[in-house]
Amino acid sequence: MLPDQNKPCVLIYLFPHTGCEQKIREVQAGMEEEGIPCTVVQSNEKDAVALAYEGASKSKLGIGMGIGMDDLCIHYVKLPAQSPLFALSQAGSPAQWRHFGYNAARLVKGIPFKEQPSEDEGLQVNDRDDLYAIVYRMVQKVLQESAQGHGEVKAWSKTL
Amino acid sequence: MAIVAGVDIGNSTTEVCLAAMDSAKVTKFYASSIIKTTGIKGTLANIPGIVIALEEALKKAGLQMADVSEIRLNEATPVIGDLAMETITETIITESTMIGHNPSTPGGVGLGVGQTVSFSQLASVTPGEKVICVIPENIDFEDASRVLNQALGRGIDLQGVIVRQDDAVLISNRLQKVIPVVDEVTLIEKVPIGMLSAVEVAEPGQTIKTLSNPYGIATVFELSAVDTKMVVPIARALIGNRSAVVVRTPQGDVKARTIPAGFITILGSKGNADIDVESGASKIMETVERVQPVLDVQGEAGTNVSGMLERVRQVMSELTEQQLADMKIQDILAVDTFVPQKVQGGLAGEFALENAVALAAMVKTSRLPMEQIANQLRSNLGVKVVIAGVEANMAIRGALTTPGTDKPLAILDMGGGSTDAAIITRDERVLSIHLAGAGDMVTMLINSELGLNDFDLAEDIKKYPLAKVESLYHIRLEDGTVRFYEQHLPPQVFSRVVILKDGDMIPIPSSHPLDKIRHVRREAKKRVFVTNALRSLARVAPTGNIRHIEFVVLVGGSAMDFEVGDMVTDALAEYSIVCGRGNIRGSEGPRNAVATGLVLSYLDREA
Repeated sequence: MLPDQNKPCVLIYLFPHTGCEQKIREVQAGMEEEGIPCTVVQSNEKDAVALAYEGASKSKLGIGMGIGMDDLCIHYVKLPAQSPLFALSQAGSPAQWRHFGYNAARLVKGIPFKEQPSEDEGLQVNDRDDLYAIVYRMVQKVLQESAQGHGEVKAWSKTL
Repeated sequence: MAIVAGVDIGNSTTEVCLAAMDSAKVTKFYASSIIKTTGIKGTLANIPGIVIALEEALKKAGLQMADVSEIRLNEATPVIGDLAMETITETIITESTMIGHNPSTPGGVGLGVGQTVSFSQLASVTPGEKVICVIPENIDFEDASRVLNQALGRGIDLQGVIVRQDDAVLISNRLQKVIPVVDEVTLIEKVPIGMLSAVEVAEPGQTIKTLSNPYGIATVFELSAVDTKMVVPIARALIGNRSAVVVRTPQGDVKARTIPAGFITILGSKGNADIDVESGASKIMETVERVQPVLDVQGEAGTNVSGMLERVRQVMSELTEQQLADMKIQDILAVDTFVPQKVQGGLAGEFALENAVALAAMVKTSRLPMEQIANQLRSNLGVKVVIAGVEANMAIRGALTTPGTDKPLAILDMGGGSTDAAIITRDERVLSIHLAGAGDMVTMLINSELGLNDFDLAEDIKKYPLAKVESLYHIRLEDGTVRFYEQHLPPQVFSRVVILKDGDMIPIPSSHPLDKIRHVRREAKKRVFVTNALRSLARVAPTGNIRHIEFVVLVGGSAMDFEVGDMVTDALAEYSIVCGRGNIRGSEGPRNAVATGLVLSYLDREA
C-alpha cells in the first residue's frame, strides 16, 4: 500500500477515529526528537496490540506501534504476539503519547526507556498472579524490615 | 554425648554451629546457620536473632531445643564502627552564568552568540540584532518554530535557542537555518534576559570545544586576562558535555569553594599529632601509623571535622547507652573520595564532582553486657548458656579447621563494621587487633561516588556482579560473555546496567556505564580492604614486619565477597604470604569460624 514501508522505520498502525491526528502528531514528534523515522499505515483492526504486532511484523526494524480508539501499544516482532512491550489501555494524554514515541525510538536506539509521565501505566500487570506475587513480595519485605527494626550500626552523618 | 551450639554475635550477622561431641572429640557437626544480627551487637536486642539462628540450625539437624545441652556465646569484642563523610569542596553558580546539564538530544549544531531574549518579546527585536531565544514551558514545537522562522525572515540574526521542554530536535528540524538548540532546561525562568550569552552544541558523538576552553569563552565575550582567569571553573565544569550555555552577567561567576574542614588531633601512645583533613587521606593515615596505637581522636572545635567526629561519638554513645565521655575513638581509616553534588544555583540540575573525605571510626566501649544476654537466653530457652573465650582466640581455632593450615597462623576477619586481625604463634600466644573500616565503608563509598542515595542499592552493587542488558533477550556480563534468555526481559531493565542478584536483575537508575560502576566498586574495595589488610597484619606481625607472617586465612562476611578475597590474596602475594579464603571445617567457606571455634573450645573445658 505504501512504498515507505520498505525502508527501515517504525511502522505505526492506525485504526482511524476522531482525534487520532493529535495522537499521531505526538507519537511522530517523540520519534523525531529521538531521530528515528516512522511511517503511518491505516488498518481496519481495532485492537492496539494486534495493530502494533502487525506493524512490528511488517517493519524492517521489527518495531511497530498500534493506535486504537482507546488504547496505544508498542510491540516488538521478537516478543510473543500477546505480550507487547508497552501498552496503554486508555486514551491517555498528549504527554503519554509523546512518551510512547520516545520509547519506540529508544527501543531502536538501544538506550534506556524514558519514565512514563503518569504512574497508572507503563508495563501493565496483566496477570492476577503477578500482582499477587508483587504484593506478596512487598509485604514480606516490609515485615522483614520491621522484624529487624532495631537496626544495624549504620549511622549516617548526613541524616543526623 | 552432648549437643553443643556455638553462637557468634557479629556486627552484622549472628552465626550458629551445632555439633555433637563426646569427651574427646566432635563426633558430628550437625548444621550451621546464619542470620542478620538483630539490634546492636552486645545488647539484649540480639536475643531474637540468636533464637532464630538456633532454631534454624536445629531444624536443619532435625533436633529440638531441648536436645541442646549447652550454648556457648563469644566474649564479643566491644568494638563498634561508624562512618562519616564530609565534602571539602563545593561549586556555586552565582547569577545563573551557565547551563551544563547535557540533555540526551540537543538540536542543531554550532556556536551561537547573542543577547538573550524571551520568546514573547521576539517580535519586538530589531532586524540585524544577534539574539538567543529563550522558550518557556507549554509552547508547542510547531508554534515555536513558526515564530522563530518568522523572526529569521524579518532579518533577525537568531543565533541559538534555549528550550524548557524536550523539543530541541523537533524545533531545529523545522528551522530554516542550522543553529544550536539546548533543551530540558528545568529552571528556564531563571535564565537572565537581555544578557550576552553563548550557546554551543557539538556534532553527535563529539564534545563542545569553545565553551569548555577558557580562551574560547574569552574570545566569545572579549574578556581581559583577569576575567579569563575567572572563567576557568566554568570551562572546567563544561568539559565533556555535548551542549552548553554560558551567560555573561555582571556579577556572574562559578566558584569552586574549599570548605575549611579543620584539623584533627590524633592522641597516640607515641605522642600526639595534628593533621589537616584537607591534606588528604594518605597523609592522615601516615600520621595515624606514626603515633599508633591510637588512644583517641579529636577534631578542631567549631570545624566540620569536629562535628563529624562528635556525631560518631554521640551515635555510639546512644547505641551503647554509655557516657559520651567514655567514647574513645581507637582507630580511624580515612579514604579520599568524591561526591557528585547538585551545583548550587544551577539551572538544569547540574552536578559537579566534589572532593570529600570518608572516615571510618572505631570506638572501643567498655565491656559489653554479655552476661545479661546469657542470663536472658538461659531463662528464655531453659538451656545452659556459657560465655566462652575471647573472640579472636575462637576465630583462630575455627580458622585452623581449614585444610592445609598450621600454626603460626594469622587470620584476617573482614566484617561489616571493623577489620580484625589475630595471630597465633607456635607457642600458642594470641595477639589481636581491631581496625576501623570494612564492608559498610565500601558501601558508603559506592553510594556516594555513584551518587545513588540508596544504601540498599549500593550494598547490592558491592555484593553482586554487574551486567549490561543489550537487547530484550540477552545480557552481556562483566567479562564480556553473553547470556541469552528464552523469555523476554522486562522493559525496565532494557539497555541498563543491572545487578545480577540471585537470578534477579536490579536495574541501576543512573547513566553510568558498566565500566565506571565496576571501577568504582573495585576501587572502593581496594581502598578499604587491601589498605586495612596490610595495616592490620603489620601490627600483629611479631616483628612488626609483615613479611614474617607465613599463612593468612581470610574469614568473616566480607571474605565471602566474590572479589575481595582475590584482591587481598593478590596484594599479599607481593610479601610472599600464603593467603586465601578460609574453608572452615573444610565445608563452610570463610564463615562460621568463631561459632566453630566456640564448639571446639568445649573440649578444653571437659578435659
